[in-house]
Amino acid sequence: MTALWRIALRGMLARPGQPLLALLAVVLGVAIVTGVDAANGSALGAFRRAVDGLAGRATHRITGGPRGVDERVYARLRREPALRAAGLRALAPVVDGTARLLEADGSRGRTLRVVGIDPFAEAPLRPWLAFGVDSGGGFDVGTLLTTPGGVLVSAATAASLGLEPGAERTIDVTGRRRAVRVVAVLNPRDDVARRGLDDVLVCDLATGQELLDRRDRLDRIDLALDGEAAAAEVAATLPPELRLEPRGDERGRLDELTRAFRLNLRALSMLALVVGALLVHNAMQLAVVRRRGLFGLLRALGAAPRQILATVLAEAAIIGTAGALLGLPLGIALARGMLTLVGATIEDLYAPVGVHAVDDLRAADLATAAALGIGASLCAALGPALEATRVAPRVAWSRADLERSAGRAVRLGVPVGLAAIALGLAAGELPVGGLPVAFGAVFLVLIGAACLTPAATGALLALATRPLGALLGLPGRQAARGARAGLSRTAVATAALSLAVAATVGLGVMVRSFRSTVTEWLDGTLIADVYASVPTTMATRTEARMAPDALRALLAVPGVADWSTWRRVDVASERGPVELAAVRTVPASLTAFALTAGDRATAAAALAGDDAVLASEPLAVRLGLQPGDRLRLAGDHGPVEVTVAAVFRDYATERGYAVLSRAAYDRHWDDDAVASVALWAQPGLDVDGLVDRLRDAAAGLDQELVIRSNRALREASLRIFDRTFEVTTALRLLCTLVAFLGILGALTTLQLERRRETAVLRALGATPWQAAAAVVTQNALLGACAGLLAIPTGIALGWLLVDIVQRRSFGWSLLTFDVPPGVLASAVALATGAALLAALWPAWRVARQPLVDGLREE
Amino acid sequence: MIARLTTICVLTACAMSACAPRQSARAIREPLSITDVLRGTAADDAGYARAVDPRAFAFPADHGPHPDFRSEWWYFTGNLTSADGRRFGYHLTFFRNAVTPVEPAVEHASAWRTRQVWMAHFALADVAGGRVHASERFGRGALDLAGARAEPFRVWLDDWSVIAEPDGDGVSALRLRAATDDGVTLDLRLDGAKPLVLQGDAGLSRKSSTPGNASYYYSVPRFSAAGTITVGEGAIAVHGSGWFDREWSTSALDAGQVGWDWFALQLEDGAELMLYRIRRADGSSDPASEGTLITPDGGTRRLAHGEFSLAEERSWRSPRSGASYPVAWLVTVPSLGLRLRVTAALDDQELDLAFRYWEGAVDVHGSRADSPLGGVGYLEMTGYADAARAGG
Repeated sequence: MTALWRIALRGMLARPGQPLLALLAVVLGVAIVTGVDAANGSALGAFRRAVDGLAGRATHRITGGPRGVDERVYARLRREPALRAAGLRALAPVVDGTARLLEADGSRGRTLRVVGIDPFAEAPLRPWLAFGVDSGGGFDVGTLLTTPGGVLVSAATAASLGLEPGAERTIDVTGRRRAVRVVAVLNPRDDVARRGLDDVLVCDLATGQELLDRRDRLDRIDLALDGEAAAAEVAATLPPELRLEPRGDERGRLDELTRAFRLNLRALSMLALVVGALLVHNAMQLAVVRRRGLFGLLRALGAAPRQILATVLAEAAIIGTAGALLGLPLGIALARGMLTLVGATIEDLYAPVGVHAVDDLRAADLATAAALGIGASLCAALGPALEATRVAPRVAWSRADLERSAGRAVRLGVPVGLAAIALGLAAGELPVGGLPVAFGAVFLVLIGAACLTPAATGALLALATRPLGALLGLPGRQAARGARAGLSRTAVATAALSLAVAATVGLGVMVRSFRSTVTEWLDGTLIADVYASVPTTMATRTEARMAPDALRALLAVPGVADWSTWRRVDVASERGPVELAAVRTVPASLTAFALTAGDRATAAAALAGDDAVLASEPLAVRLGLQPGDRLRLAGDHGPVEVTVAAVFRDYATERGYAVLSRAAYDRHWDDDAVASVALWAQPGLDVDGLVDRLRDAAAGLDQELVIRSNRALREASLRIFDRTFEVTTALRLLCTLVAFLGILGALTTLQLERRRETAVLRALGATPWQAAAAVVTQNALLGACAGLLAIPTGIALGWLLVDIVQRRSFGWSLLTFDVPPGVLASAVALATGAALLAALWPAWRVARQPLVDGLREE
Repeated sequence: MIARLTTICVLTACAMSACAPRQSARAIREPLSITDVLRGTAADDAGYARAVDPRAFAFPADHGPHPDFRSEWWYFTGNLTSADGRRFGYHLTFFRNAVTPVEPAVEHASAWRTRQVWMAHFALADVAGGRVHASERFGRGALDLAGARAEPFRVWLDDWSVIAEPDGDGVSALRLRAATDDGVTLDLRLDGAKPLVLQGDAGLSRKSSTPGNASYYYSVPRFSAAGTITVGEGAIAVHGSGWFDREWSTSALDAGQVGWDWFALQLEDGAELMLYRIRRADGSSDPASEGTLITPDGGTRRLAHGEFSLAEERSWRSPRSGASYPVAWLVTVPSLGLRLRVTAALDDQELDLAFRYWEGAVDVHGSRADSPLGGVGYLEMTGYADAARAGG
């Protein structure tokens, strides 16, 4: 085996250009996969640490309805000796909410979690927050209890926020400004505990209720229970609005919330690796072709086909391994940039968790990324390696043999490609499997398209020969024929380029269609003139509570003709947590819901106060709901059975929600909070003037409100939409970069292999510049072919993403399928441009090449 | 009792600062320095009510809390015997401690906001089993998590409580309930109370010569006790006696006072003897040490410092703290003809709680005017662990 490895290594070292570029492609592919993995993992890790670190030794938690848990229930549980005897080991009250640290200029800075605890109840659960027990840095319970706004921060958080004991800051809690003062800095020795305190302000429960406006209420009760019998015993004593759940449920929440988002990113990162693998394939193919004589000789010397196979695979393994080794650290470096984008989206949409640092990847994750890189390289090399084993002893392939073999491969690509596309489309139709199957289908179609690309490129070039000849004369015809003749070496690189460009087109089409749909949807949904809300993000929407005096002040402004209110809450149901929007409607409200199932009369009755909900499309898809279905929700007075009256189009959240009339909500839940209000101006009134008057009315309030005209809200919504696709754009560009490397490598080799051909051209009287121009023209042709072929593939991909991923996996059926001409034009331009750029160096080499060297055979 | 003052001050110290420099979770198991605590807290007594002059007690109101004083406690101790003669001692105490003299001003304050911190200690000494089971609880004086009420009488922290029985009057019949996390429980009814006794100068008990370093102090020196305990294998019916001490104050001791020994002895002839000695750094007894004899009919006789002597006859060294506690004493009160040997029912009754002290059941053997006289009681010793730490 040693000899074979040596042959592999020497083969690469002799002609390092091509393997080097393949290596670079693998490096980038592995780096992108690793970077996305690390960014995803760090975001989840931050969330899990926040959950685990603050859960301490709790095994269960008691949670309530929209308003949380009545604190008197906690006091009663604590005084109950029977529960202790039954195995209730410890219980502790928690208020838990989010705030933004206000910067010196008044802007909202870092998102912080405010956690109120009772230090007297913490010893068995979170000893580092307990009274009388070591707390690392130590804190002073008397001061914590009696300092209004007194908070504890971890040493790391104190350092990153520039806080020290005695420091005073202002935080914004859903628009209310609250003063906090650092009482002490905590530094628990326990690592989980310490990291759980990242970006957390810990305070006494009294302070927590005051800061978060949670008087009389707890967000949860954490418990340590001895076994299921104890859990049953405790659960039996709870009033109907409260639930006892095991601690693990919370841990999985962000995993589940962001699963689709992360899978999307992962699929995109895998695309980069597939493009990289295609380039390895290309490199190996060329290496096999180049060394056909050597393989023939080796066979004659007694080497078995198996050993030849091993030699080629060894070469791929070297590329894959080196690519993985270099790709991993690059990926970790890349993760920082990815994390900024990923973290922002997660914080905006899913959970108020600040993700600031890239976690160290676990060895297993690194191994997986490395295995993917090496595996992809080996798979890509399998074809060329098998090809090499078919070299007969002592028989060197002739050029013609090679081209015949390449032609066979091209022809074989057609049925294989068609089969892959058919399989992909069939998989896309599968009713099961969800997002992974959907992405699998998309990949099959892409690979099928890649298989078809060589044949299609050949056909395109054949078609182009005559018009090019007419246009440019002999050089034009020569370029087209030359490009076609060289397909044995450039087809795969062209396919890779085409694939990357197609991905760009497909994603562009999908994002554009989605955006058009959302714009159209916003037009139909935003029917009021002015919107006022509490300043929260999507991630903290259920925390939004508008102060009653704020609502009164707005409604008292002259010129307000009518209003509707929204309140979003999470309630438990027999099918997991369901987001509920309690809406006070106006007669026009029904028109804002574009129904996709169910009739208007039933929907109107639901909005008028029936025990019925309108389900948003994503919710209906996720839970498999249809009009007439029933949903059992956990009300404050016991279970509430609601009928699904209709399904409506909605793009606000990917998990979906159900709309319930405020009247019905008030019947079943004890919660008078309102999160936002939509206001209608009296007919003929200037809306901007009304916005100004509303802002004046809100200016004197304790709670800051965001008051926006219809137009401003629409723009703000689209800004958020655009921001969530920034990651997609970044990954798209990275894929194109990988493809560019591929085409550069393929074309360089092509031109180097054709030195003799160009030398002949020169000998026949062509100037160096004419020879160089021929190279450039050939490349431009290949690039243009890749770009043109990317258009149908890209559009098909876009349609698949819209239909399979968006509609079937998220429940978002898009209203429009938008193929922006700009995206198509830029696809051709991108591919041609990349090819042209890649031609510069080979062209320069050709122009500088001494005639005699070129004429000499290798 | 004075030792209980220490308890409160330790609580304050834990709350205010003493835990801060500790380096490990084990640290809490190390004894806190009582004298440091006292000196540390004596500086900020301003704003609290003080025990300076004798006051007019009013019952049942005075069974309830006095939140303007820094600290206060409800202290129950007693000796129990099972039907088969097994001997037990119990100790259930509720401490209230204010962390600031006035409530901080907060608009729309949370119901959890309070300046009253509560601690409770429960210990059951199992003499035959050779060990004491001790446990502690903390809580705040809010939301009924912990507190005390005069009428009907009730003092509680979580599920530990002492509640007036419906047929009782004031504190004449009480129900005591407590349980440790590892299943040792106490459920006791105290009744047949002797009249309550004002200690010291009509209830003003001076702890040092500094005015204001004093508490208001009364006792119910004897109850009959009956009920059940659980220790190890199932419930055990027990009967015996109880002693209830009540004390509230703001400031504690002078510099130079390092600990104390407190005796609550219930004698077979129906009398009770309460004595305390405050030890000074130089080993002498502080002149503020004193005692009370309660006659079988409830009459009292105050015993001044010079009227009694406490001689240590045997010591026991704690393997945990290294502290050496006198566990056998010769108590003499010449003016009453009393000569009593007080010996620990179990040597190791050191309580390994947030701070260390020795609080345990004792046996009394001796004589009064040469007639034999026995009894039982409770003994509390503090400051020994500090001395061991300072010495070691």
